[in-house]
This record gives sequence, structure tokens and C-alpha cells, in this order.
Amino acid sequence: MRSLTSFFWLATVVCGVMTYLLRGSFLLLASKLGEVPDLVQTMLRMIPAAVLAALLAPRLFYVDEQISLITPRTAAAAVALVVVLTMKNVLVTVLSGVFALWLFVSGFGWAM
Amino acid sequence: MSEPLASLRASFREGMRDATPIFVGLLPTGAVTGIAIAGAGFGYAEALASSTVMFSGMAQIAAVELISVRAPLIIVMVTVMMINLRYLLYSATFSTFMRHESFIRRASLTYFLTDTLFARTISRTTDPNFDSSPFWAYSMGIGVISVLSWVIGTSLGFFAGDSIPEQVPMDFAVPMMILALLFPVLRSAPMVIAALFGGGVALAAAGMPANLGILVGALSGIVAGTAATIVAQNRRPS
Repeated sequence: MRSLTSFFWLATVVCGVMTYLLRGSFLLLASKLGEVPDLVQTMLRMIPAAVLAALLAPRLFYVDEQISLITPRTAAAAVALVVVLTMKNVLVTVLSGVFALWLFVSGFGWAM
Repeated sequence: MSEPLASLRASFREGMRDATPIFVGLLPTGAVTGIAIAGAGFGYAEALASSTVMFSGMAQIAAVELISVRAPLIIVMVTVMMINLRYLLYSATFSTFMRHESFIRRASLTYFLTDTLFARTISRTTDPNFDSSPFWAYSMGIGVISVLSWVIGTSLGFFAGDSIPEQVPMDFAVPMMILALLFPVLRSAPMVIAALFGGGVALAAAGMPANLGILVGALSGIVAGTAATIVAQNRRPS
């Protein structure tokens, strides 16, 4: 089994170089970009919503190789959702989700 | 040469001063990133590396999530690339204003080219007296303060997160940060559709090997959101 820490370093450096090259793409070559087609702009705008949802959904609803809708994790996520929609604060949202999960599992004895 | 150097310094300092709201604004998000990296079980060196080498909140948190679930490197790379593709547009925009500057100047500014920097500086390029040299120095001032704030925020968050008792399920901080970043970006019906397809397909495909389901879901979401945009545009011809 590979060490998770050494993999973290490898992935971080590789992704860091890639991020730099994306930021530098046109700027480093001092080249100009023609008109960006509307279709490409539309696709670019969809990326954050699609990628973040694809990362989040399995983490919340996929437990022990099956889909479960009502678990302490989804209940805690619901609490965090209310917080993010009302307060729009990332820090408060994350803390409320984590502490809600803690309360549900350790306080109420709701099994993970 | 002393005259232009002095004016470059002045522009750099002006950028640093104008970045005060950015400094305050980035601290909490940097802190959450630090909390999440600590919660996922990594050390301070890793948190610091992530925030300085990648310096890109949404991509950092996606990478931490995928590393934690032991996704293969290629999945981490493709996901981070998708999230950061928008930098191509920023880069192209900056390139048109900076193409007469030296390579060193363009290469140094590249490191700092974030959403925040782009949003804060782009209005200056429409100034009729626009000059790329002071603009570079000004942007570097904004960039230095941004990365400083990001690193301080990450550090504060890391040590706060690391000192929270073990019973608290801090590993949940990573998905909660993804949730906190996701809902504010759902500003239109097609974006909601992109998220529903992205999440739904990723969930349905969660049994696929090597976390491929996440990529399949993300791509489905992008296609669905784009299709929804086109349908909406055709219904309402402009």
C-alpha cells in the first residue's frame, strides 16, 4: 500500500505545476486568444457545479457500497445546507456540519 | 532608471494597500482549507505545500478529498484540471495586456493569477492611461498579500483543526467545505441541472473502480448543464 502522505506530495506537486501552467498558458507565451466560442464559455461555467456535486454526492450518500439517503452524514449535511443558504459563510458552514455530525453520532448515539 | 523603479515601488505598495479587503476576505476560506487538511489527517507541511504550490482553494479541497479516498493520480489530475480550466480565460485576458512585458514579469504574475486577483485588477485595464508596467507592479502587490493571507489562514485553520478533540469527526470538514463551495455557485437553472446530473450520475456510478464515477458524473453534469443552457437560449431568442 502506498503511503498516503507521499502520494499527497506527489499529487500536490503535479497539480501545482499543472495549475501554474493553466494560469500561464497564454500569459507565458504572450499569445492572444481569439473569440472564445459561446459553447466553450457555457461549458466552463458549468464546471464548478458539476465537479463539486460529483465529489460531494458519493461522499454523502454512498455508504458501505450502497446508497443510503438518511444517515447521520446526510442529516448533518442538511444542517450545513441551511447554514450556507442563510449565512453564506464557508467557515460557519463547515463547523456546523462537523459539529452536527458529532452531535448526531456521539450525542444521540445515531449509528454511522 | 531610478524614476521608473520608484514608480514601480509605488504601484506595488498601492496594490498591497488595495488588497486589505482581500487579506481579510481570504483568511476564513484559507482557514477552512487548513481545517479540512488537518481533518483529513495530513500534517502542517502538507497543508503549507498545498496552499503555496497549488494556491487554489477549490482545487486544493478537491485534491484532498480524492487523495483521502485513494483515487489514482490521473483522476486527481483530471479533476483539478477541470476545476482550474477557467484560468485559461484569465490567462488569455491578461496576456493581451501584458504581452509587451518581460518573460520574468509574466512568469511571476502567473503564480498569483487567481479569481480574486483577476476580479480585483481587471477594471484597471480599461483605464485610458493604462500602462502595463505599473499594472504589473500593482497586481504583484495584490498577489503577495493574497498568498500571505491564504498561508496565514491555512496555518491558523490547521492548528485550530488539529487541536479539536479526536471524538469530533473532523474528516467531515472536507465534504462540508465542498458543500459550502457548491451551493453559492448554483446561480441559474442550468447550473442546478449540472449539479443534479453531476451528483446523481457520480452516485449511480459510485461502484466504478478507481473513483472513475466522479469523473463520469462531472462530465455528465457539464454536458447536461450546457444542453440546458442551449435549450433555454433557443426558447428565448435574443
